[in-house]
Amino acid sequence: MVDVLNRLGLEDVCIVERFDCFRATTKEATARKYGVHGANIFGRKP
Amino acid sequence: MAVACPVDLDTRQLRSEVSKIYSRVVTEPDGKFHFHRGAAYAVEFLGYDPEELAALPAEATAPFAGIANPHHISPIHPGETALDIGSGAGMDLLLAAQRVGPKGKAIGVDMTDAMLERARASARALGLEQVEVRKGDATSLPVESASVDVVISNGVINLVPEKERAFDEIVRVLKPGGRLQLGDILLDVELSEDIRRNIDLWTG
Repeated sequence: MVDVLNRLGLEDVCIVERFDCFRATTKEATARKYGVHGANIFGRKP
Repeated sequence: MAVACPVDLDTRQLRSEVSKIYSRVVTEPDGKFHFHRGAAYAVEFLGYDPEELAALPAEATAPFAGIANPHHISPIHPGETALDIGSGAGMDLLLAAQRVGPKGKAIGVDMTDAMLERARASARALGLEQVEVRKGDATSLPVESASVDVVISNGVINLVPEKERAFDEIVRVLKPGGRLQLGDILLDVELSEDIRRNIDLWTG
């Protein structure tokens, strides 16, 4: 995702924070298997 | 990270399935889903302010199904124009509207009629005249170019098959210096073609 946003020309792109949003859901095991998680991502248009 | 869907994925069917599931979230927020919903989840898992959420209509917070917290990334300032892509029942949109204040504008875009109506009703209930809700999707935003100070979105772009187009649209609508404050799904591993072709896995 960061690479994609950089390719689009956005600046200061970064992952700010990550969230374990599938914890205690029926998809928790699948999320763990593939490393699926929520994230806050920032970018700025030049 | 792969940002395009497989060429033989039926994107129309995918959009229809996504729309059905999130319409059901509005009508049955306590129903069975593979993802969490509601204000208590938003506070416990994502760090939303409980007092801010308690001040919003339950009709906006109960169907909330975001997976991150765009409001945690950077402040949204009074007078700004904020755009929420996939605004849903309106929780993030209403918070953005409160931050931009009466001199700003908070635009919500969603493709689901039930969500649009819910967000409009909640904005009316709170007297937030700076809220505009428009029907559309992330790949063709009904928003003027270079008109937005901050784009927020929460758990939506991962559901869009044509992600490159969605990101192009975000860049188009942002003003120079405008911010993208995106909450979305990240994966630590590359998915196989089989998995990416499976609509059930896209929609849960």
